[in-house]
Order: sequence, then C-alpha cells, then structure tokens
Amino acid sequence: AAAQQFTMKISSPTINDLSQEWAKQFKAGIEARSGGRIKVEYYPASQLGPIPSTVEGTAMGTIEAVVPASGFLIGLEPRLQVFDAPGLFTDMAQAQRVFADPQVRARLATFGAAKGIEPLAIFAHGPLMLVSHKAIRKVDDFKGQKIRVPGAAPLQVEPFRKLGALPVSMPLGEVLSAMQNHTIDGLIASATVFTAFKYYDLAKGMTVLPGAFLIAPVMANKAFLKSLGPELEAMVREEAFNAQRKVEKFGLEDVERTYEIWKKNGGEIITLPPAEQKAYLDQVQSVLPNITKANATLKEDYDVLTAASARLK
Amino acid sequence: MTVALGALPIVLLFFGFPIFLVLLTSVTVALVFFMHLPLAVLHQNLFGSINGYALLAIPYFIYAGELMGRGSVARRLVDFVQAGVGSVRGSLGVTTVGTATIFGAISGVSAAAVATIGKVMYPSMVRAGYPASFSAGLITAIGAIDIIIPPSIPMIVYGAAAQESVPRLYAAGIVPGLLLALVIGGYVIVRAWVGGFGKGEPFNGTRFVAATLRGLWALGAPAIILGGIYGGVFSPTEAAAVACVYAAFVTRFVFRELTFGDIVEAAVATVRFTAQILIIVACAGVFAWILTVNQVPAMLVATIQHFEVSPWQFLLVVNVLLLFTGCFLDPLSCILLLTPLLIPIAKSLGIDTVHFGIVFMVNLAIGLFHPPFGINIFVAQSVLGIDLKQIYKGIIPFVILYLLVLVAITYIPQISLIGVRLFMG
Amino acid sequence: MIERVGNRIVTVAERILALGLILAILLDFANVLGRYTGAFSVLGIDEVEIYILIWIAFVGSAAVTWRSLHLRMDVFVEACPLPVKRVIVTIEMAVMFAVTAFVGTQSYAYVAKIVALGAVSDIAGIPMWIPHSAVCIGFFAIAAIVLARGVERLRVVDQVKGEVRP
Ligand code: NA
Ligand code: NA
Repeated sequence: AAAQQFTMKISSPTINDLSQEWAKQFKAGIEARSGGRIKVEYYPASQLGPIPSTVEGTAMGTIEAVVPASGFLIGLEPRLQVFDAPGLFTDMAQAQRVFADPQVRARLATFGAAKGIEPLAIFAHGPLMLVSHKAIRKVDDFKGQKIRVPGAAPLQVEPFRKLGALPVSMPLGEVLSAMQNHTIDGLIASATVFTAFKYYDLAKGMTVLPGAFLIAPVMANKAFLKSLGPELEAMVREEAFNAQRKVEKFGLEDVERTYEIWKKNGGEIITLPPAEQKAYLDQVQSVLPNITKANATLKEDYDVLTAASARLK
Repeated sequence: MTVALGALPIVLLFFGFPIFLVLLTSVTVALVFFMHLPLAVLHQNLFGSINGYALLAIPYFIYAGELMGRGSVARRLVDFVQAGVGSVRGSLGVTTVGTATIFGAISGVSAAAVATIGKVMYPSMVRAGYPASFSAGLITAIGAIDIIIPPSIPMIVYGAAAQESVPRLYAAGIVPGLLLALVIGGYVIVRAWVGGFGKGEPFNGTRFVAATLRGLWALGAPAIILGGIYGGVFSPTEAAAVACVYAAFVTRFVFRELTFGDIVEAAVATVRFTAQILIIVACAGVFAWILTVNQVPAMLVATIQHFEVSPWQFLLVVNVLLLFTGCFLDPLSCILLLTPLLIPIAKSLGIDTVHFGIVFMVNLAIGLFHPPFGINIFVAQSVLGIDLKQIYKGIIPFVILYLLVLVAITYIPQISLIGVRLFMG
Repeated sequence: MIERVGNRIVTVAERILALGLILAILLDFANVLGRYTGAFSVLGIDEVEIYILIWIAFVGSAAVTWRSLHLRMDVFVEACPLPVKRVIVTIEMAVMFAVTAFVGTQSYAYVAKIVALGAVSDIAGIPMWIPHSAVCIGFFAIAAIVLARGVERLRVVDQVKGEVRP
C-alpha cells in the first residue's frame, strides 16, 4: 500500500451513535480503497472541543470534517435552517429516502459552498422529542410551557410561540440543572440525546413532535477535499455516501432501541392522537409562508425537499 | 515533539515564566517545528476555550465576592456564624469548611468558590489569629469540593462523555463531598487545639440576637441564591449574576457603604482577576487540543490496556494518571481528553461508571490545588495577595487528607453509590 | 512618558471592560426576571455575555501584563542571585514578545478569514469577528507592552526586587 499522505480528523459531539457508526463504515471504506493514503481519525464526545469551535475549525481547515446537528451550522450557512421546517418528512425511513435522492443530493451539495464547506453525507439522526415535567398529550398542553429550544432561527422559535409556549434559549450545560429545579418546563432534542443523558431520571413524559427530525450533516472542508487530488476527492465523496446508505438500517434500529431504553426506565413515549397531530401540524406550519416569503433561497430549498418528500412517500 | 510538549513546559515553569506563556510557548514550538497543521489552530482553540457559558460563573461570583467584601456584607455573615458557634476552637475554620460546602451546592466552578470564600473568610481568619499559610492552604483546598458537590460543570461534561446520567452523578457526589468536608473540618479543629489558635468568644444570647439582626440583609444573599436555584427561578450561573445585583443593591442603598464609583472599582478588580485566570484556561485549552491530535491520551490508555490489569490496579493507575494530568491541565480538558478512552476499559473490568465518575472528580479536585500547578493555587495567590511559598506550605496537609479520602472512595464504591440509592430510588 | 500615557490607556481600557461586566450581569438579571414572570425571554443574551467575557479575558490580559500581575510559579527564580535573575528575565521578555507577536499575527489572519466568511453567532446573530478580534488585539497589545517597557524593566531589576517583569 502507498504511504499515508492525508489525515482526515472528524469531530463529533456524540458517542456510540449513528454518527460514530457512519464514521466506522467510512473509515473502513476509504482506508481500504485509498490503500491507506487517507487516514481517518474520528474524535467522538467533543474531544476536539465544543461544537461551535469545531464547526469553525472545519471552516478554517484545522479540522477536516464535523458532524453537528444542522442548527449549529446556521450561523455559517443559513440555508441549513430549512431542516427546521415542520412536516418536511413523515418518518425516518422517508427522510433517508429523500437524502439518498440524486436531485436532493445535487441541491444539498451546494450548501455551504460560499463558506468553503460541503456536506459529505447527511442523516436523519432521530425524531425530535419534547421531554417535559407535565406530560404533553394535546396541542393545548403547550400553552404557557417554558420550553428550551435548540436555536433562535425563526423556524426554531415561531412554531412554539404559535402553540402558546415560551421558547427559552439556555446553554446546554445549564439545561440539566434547570430541568431538575423546574426553572424550565421542558426541552426539545432527539430521543437519542435524552437516553444518552438519562433524562428519564428527571421526567417521564417524552412527546413525539410530529414531522420534526434532528438532521445531522457531515460537513467537510472544501479546500481539504480539493487538496486530495481528483481521484481521492471523488473517492471520499463516494465512500461518504456509501457509508450513509450502509448505516440507514442502524439508524432506524437505533431509534427503536432508544425508545425501548426510555420505556424500560419507567418513561412514557407519547404519540399525539391523529386529530391532535393534524391540529399541531396545521398550527406550526401556519408560520411557514411568512418566514419563506422573506427568504427566497429558503423557499426554493424547501420546495425541492417537499417535492422529493411527496415523490418518495 | 516530546521536547516541545514535555520538557519545555517544565523548564519554563521552573524558570518562573507566566503560566499562560509556558503553555503558549510549548504549543507554538510544537506547531511551528514539529507538526503539519494549519496555524489557525492557535487562535481557534484560544478562542474556543473561553467561548463557553459555564465560565461566566467565574467573573460573576468573583464580583459578588468583591462587593460583599468591600461593603460589610461578608463581615456581617461571618459575625453571625461566629456569634452562633461560640467558643469552639477552630470554629472560624470550620465555618470556612461549611461555607465552602454550601457554596458547592450553589456553584459548579471551583475557581469561583476559592475566590469568593477567600475574599470573605481569609481576612477574618487572619484577624482571629489563624496562621496565614494554614488559612490560605485551607481555602485553596476546600474550594475544590465544589466540583464534587452538585451542581458541577465537570460532572456534566463527564456525563456527556461517559454517557452516564448527570442526576445520578449528582446524587453520588453528595456523600463523598460531605465526607471530605467532615474530614477536613475535623482536621481544622485538631490543628486549632494543637496550635492553640482560633478560640472564639463564649456564646452570648444578646450578642447572637444583635449579630442576627445586623446580618439579616447579608443573610439574604445565600438565602436568595439557594432558594432561587432550588426553587426553579434561575440556573446556577444566573444565580451568580443575581447575587451581584443583590450585593450591589444592599451595599449601595441599604448599608450605604459603597458609591457607584466603588461599584465600578470592584468591577475593575474583577476584570483583572478574571483575565489572570482565563488567559491560563485559554492556553491550557490549546495545549490539550495538541495533545489530543497527537494521540497522547490514546497512547497512555493503550499502555494501560497492554498490561491487562485487574480492576483495583486499573483504578490505581487511573488515580496516578489523573493526579498527574490534573497537575497540568484544567478539569474540563482532562475529562474531554481521557473519559472517552478510559470508559471502555472501566466497563470491561466491571467498574460502575457512576463510581468511576466520582473517582474521576475527586482526582480532578486534588489536581485543582495540587502543587505546583493547580489552578486554585493561582486563584488564591491572586485573590489573597499572599506569597506562593506560603500557600504551598499550607496546602500539603490538605493534599494528604484528600488523598486518604480518595483511597477510601476508590476502593469502597458504596460511598459513592449510597447516594444514588438514597436520592434516585 | 511611556509610563504616563500607558497608565492612562490601561486605566481607561479596564474601566470599559468593567462596565462591560456590569452590563453583562444586568442583561442576565433582566432575562431571569422576564422568564420567571413569563413576560419575555430574550434569545441569545448568553452569547452577548460570553463575548463580553472573551473581551475581558484577552484584552484584560494586556492590562494584567501592564500591571505585572500574571500568575506564575516563581519560588525558584526569587531565590536566584541577581545576575542569574537578569538573564532569566531577559529571556522571558524576548520569548514573551516573540510568542505573543506571533500568536497575534496568526490571530489577525484568522479574524480576517472570519470577516470574509461572514459568520454570525448561532442565536443572537452577532457577527463573529467582534468577539474574535479580542484575541488578536489582546496579544498584539501584550507584545507592544513588552516592547515598550522591556528596556526600562531591565533597569529596574537592580532596584526593586519583586516587580521585575512585564
Ligand atoms: Na458544586
Ligand atoms: Na490542574
């Protein structure tokens, strides 16, 4: 095998999850195919620093790739807020089909282009859930709840204002204490995050938010990809996508596993009744026209994704 | 590489270079001469290490301490406790331990504990005849229990890296934290008897009532902080901000001791303390990052694995490893570097990850004030304005006490796990 | 002359940072009140507070350099005879100038890139070059202070025991 020429450091905030499974597949694929010319170093659990720092590091080229939730990339590439649009996908499997669709992939490949970054792969990490002290069983229950939301982009905030809740922004490190002492009533994250941090020790009710998913792209530094030369550059993109397809099954099973863990620890998974689901989506989607009206690119991206969603039902 | 990251910092440290410069010079030499990485790494990690909400508790609590110390809030609090405990020898020292324990239940940042308690208790202890080096040693060491008693930022970071429940870790930290407080409190009383210092005035009902009345507004500070956190009004870092507003209000409008100019002056002093400490945290962050990408922690762990150790040997090695790294790095960097690597081994040896987390915390707590390089030593040096040699001398007995407790906590998992059973059901 | 002008600048800078600290605390306090009463919750206040802290840390470090307050472990050096001490202090100042000027230069390049990227903070949407430039300004200021005072400090080494270094 040829001598190693390139090291690809990939940073992730999480551990033992879909991202790590993807990295395992990608590493095996690319190291074998490149004959060891590219070496992949995967750093889970924020070993290379907190998320904002690693996202910036990827844009600057000190880290070659990073796997954060899409919300952490909005400051760099506002187009990524499209994934916060409610009702984009109906379930995980459909989201996976959409992300494997050639038309959608061509569109996504342009995300971040102006900032020197590019999504190598993209996955639905899990459905978004609301864990709250007072179990939320109907749309009306959202009223007056202080809910910690992951960001402040209009699409992350307005839907909850519409439901009558008070969206609160709070640093991750404070959320757990704040939940424990009832400073906030609930918070939104993916189910995998809630079980990883064992939130069932704090609250039992975990409500599935209809049509909302945590989307995690693998963002790479474009200059690094270029520096690999045409052959290896193409190889990295292909292997990244191959790995994305390979972990699809793991992704679906991981969500089921997560639900089982939650229930085994005395937690309850609350799915809104169909009528409430519809009422919920009607309410939260009613904020969309106003937001997309002010942002033409967002509207185009949204239309491409919803068209693919409809096509790949 | 070993020269740049191993020998160079030790030499520079020895020659009395500022700590931030020791770390920064080492990483700069490593990056420029030994590594093929973009130099943007320097700025990115200097900035990234400070770009976190948890660190805000440091200036906020220091500022609250400054205001309480410049006005009479702090003295009124101490007078109240003193009037209550009466003539027990070492009572003021025990008060310091108690204050640190309560402060531990408020804050998750140890440097803030040392700064605040130092500002409040040190002058009183010295005035009451306690030796300066003993007082400084006690304050430097006791502040470290802050990361063992919940809430604790390091525990949150450990929980994330080890995929362990933070409420469970919090519950597990209570008993070891109280055990440490008891052992150190006991030692303080013994030392006061042996040394013949720290005799308080006998209890006197009238004096106690007077001190209580005089202390009412001052007592409002801890009451509001604890009540606010556990009553769900604000988060621990927000509590520090509320404490500042309260202290400023009381000293300016109730006691009328400080002018607006004085309040700004206290903020200027806080800015200096904060910069002194955070520039080190920033440079330690770059240093830790460089260690990680050079796979240094991974190699250390591989070495441990290579020897196929038993659980008790593993815990011993981990203790030594953490005490060593804890001497050079701040707790958060240590946790981020080592937890993801050590946890798989601990699990394979059947060690409970909650227990392991508490062992981790106690080690890091010792690293916080372990000579020569614990960050709390420098916080104390800065806040108390006392000679480094004096602090080192005063710290030694406390390092030994902590080590004894560490051995107990390491080899008797029940000390940690009883809290989980009691509080988590 | 350098001493007088420097003192004036550092004192003003410290006051500005101090007012920044007070502002951060008041913002935090207001947010607590708003959220507790359910009246409002301003998203992104935490980012403003952190960026003020970053300015305090790096620009404040320059003030700390001016006032010779950097934390260090000087037990050994204090015990050295004067000529040895002089050599160590000279080396330290040369190293400090070289390293901080170098880091300042790298930092400047980084900030320029951030400006080009147009990155903004996740929640409050603050342009990221604002907090980032604190690092660059802080380290250049430290380098400038070392340079401006170096010669004079070495002279003082003979007279004053403690305050010998920048
Ligand atoms: Na604590
Ligand atoms: Na340390």
